[in-house]
Amino acid sequence: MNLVEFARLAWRSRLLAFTLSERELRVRYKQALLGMAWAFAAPLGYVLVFTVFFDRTAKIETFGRPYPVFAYAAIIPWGFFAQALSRCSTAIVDNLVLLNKVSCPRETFVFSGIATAVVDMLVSAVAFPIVVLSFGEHFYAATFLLIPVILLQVAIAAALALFLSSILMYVRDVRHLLPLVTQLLMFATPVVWGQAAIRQRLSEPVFDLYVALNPMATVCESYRRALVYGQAPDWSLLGISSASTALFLAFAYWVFKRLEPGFADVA
Amino acid sequence: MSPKGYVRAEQIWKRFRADRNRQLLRDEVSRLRQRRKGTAAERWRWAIRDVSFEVQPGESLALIGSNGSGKSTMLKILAGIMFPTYGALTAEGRIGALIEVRAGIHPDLTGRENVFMFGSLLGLKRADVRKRFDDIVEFAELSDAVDRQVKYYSSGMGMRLGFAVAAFLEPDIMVVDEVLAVGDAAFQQRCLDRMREVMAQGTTLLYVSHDLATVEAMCKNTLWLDQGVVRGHGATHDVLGQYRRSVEVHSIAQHPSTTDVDLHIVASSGTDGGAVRSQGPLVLNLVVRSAHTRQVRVVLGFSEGSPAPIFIAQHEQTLRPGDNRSTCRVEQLPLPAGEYAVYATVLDDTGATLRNWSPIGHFEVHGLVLPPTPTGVVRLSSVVVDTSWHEDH
Repeated sequence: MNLVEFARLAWRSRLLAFTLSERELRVRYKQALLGMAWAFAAPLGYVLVFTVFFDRTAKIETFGRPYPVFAYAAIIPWGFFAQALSRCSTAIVDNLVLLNKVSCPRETFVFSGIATAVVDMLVSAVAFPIVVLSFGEHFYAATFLLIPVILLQVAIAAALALFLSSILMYVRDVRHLLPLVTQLLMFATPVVWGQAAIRQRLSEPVFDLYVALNPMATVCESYRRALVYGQAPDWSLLGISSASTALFLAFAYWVFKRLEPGFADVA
Repeated sequence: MSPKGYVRAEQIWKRFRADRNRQLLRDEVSRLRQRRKGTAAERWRWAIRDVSFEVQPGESLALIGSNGSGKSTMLKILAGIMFPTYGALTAEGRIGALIEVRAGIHPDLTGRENVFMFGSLLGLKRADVRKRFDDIVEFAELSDAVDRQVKYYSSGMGMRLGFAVAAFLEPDIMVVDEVLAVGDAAFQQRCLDRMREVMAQGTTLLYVSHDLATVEAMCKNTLWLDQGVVRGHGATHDVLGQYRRSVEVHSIAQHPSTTDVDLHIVASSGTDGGAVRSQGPLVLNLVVRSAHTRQVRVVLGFSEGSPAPIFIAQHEQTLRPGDNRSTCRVEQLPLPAGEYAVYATVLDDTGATLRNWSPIGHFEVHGLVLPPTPTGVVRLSSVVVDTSWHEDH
């Protein structure tokens, strides 16, 4: 079974993946004077920009919560997603030197990119409590219900990263398109505005299809429910998104395995 | 299940796209369009054609051949970096591949961080690396530099670090591609010693090098690849002999014969026209043809086929127009039994080359057999010397 094999491989190559991402982080934070501050400052910048340009101009429905807190909660997982996408899609291309000289499971480069993005996400969440407190909001125990959601977002990132990184080996110019697509995807996901705004425009079956095709919508909304409103995730939507993500992941891994033997040839 | 360290290649074929140089969407689309129209002229280049061999655990196999013969491709397939187009490869156990030692080394990390990094790239646990850390640092002669960033290392230090990590993680199969060329002589010898040690522990060695002397020192068997095809396979000494002769033939074919000075061997013989024997005399009858009268220096080189001679002989003479006959006599030929090539060049009195260094013929020597060198010891030149031993009581 494709996914079982995938999980086994992911487990076996964890050490190398962690070492690679450790190297990545070390190198990055060694070079940048402000180090961790960059990962920390980026989400705050987004919150500021969203508040000024979206919330001020078109009043966004936040159901009684301050907009910066509302936005920040969804920026945390979205930042991870965007980061993982840009980092992992080029994971194989960027490691050509290693790829051509050292034999190791090729998936490792993708996994290490995701591990790096997870670390960055944790750092980016550091300022969240400060923002919450400064607006007089509360923390909720529902935060712990995000654990399955984190697994889902890692699986989504892994699926896209495996697919894109292997395709990119053969058609390298596609990477120039990626930042644009990621930006557009953000507006198709409840990051700037809430999921309710999207839901009211779609009929029930179409909305289910939307949640299946864009599982990041469920992830972002679950973060918001837990961190801002203290609610558990919508389990039925989480179910739909998880099922579709499993399919995407199986497909992406199949594509990756099909293309993998040729990586070193076109390196 | 075969024992660890066992390697078998069965009818390996590998091809590359000959027309591939860019990976852009545009190119892929135009290729798809051509394929649909049926005008797809997909050009393939076979880098490896039907190569089969087998290496037992603890044995060693060298891959030799000229540039572009497919050695490195074959090694990458063995190391699991590339996949064969057709054929099956069996390699049991952990493979430590040294395709390029500095590849796994990151310039922004310190030597210490790199040791752990490289170790886990090669599939080692952190604890295993820690256990060997001191050995690695000692072998690489890094001492204090180990906590410095690698970008401030000299190239020799980086290379030593890479080799030390790979050589101390005790792989079941060690794949080494021409990596020793960068080190100084002392370090090269220590690398060879280390390789011999790991082989003694049962590690299988697959070795690629242009340095035939180290091939002879390290490997029992040799596979000679020529444009992706096996030209010779067997005991190292025999295959190297064939290979050297082919190098000689190749350089004869390349030599242009349009200069106004040329020379060739009329006859070669031992004593009184008999066979040439080790430690006996060698007589070469030469003819030097010249267009003008000039003062020249003729230099002869005696080699095993490659342009690097074992020893040389030279003679100054005045050439007259036409054929100039001369005889070169070596009193005690220090060569063991085998086939040898004679290379020659002619220089004028200013030192300018009148005839390029290329073979002018070859001769066979009978008699003494060269004693084999111990594994890991590189013989610089294959000469036999008359020795006598006395045991003092």
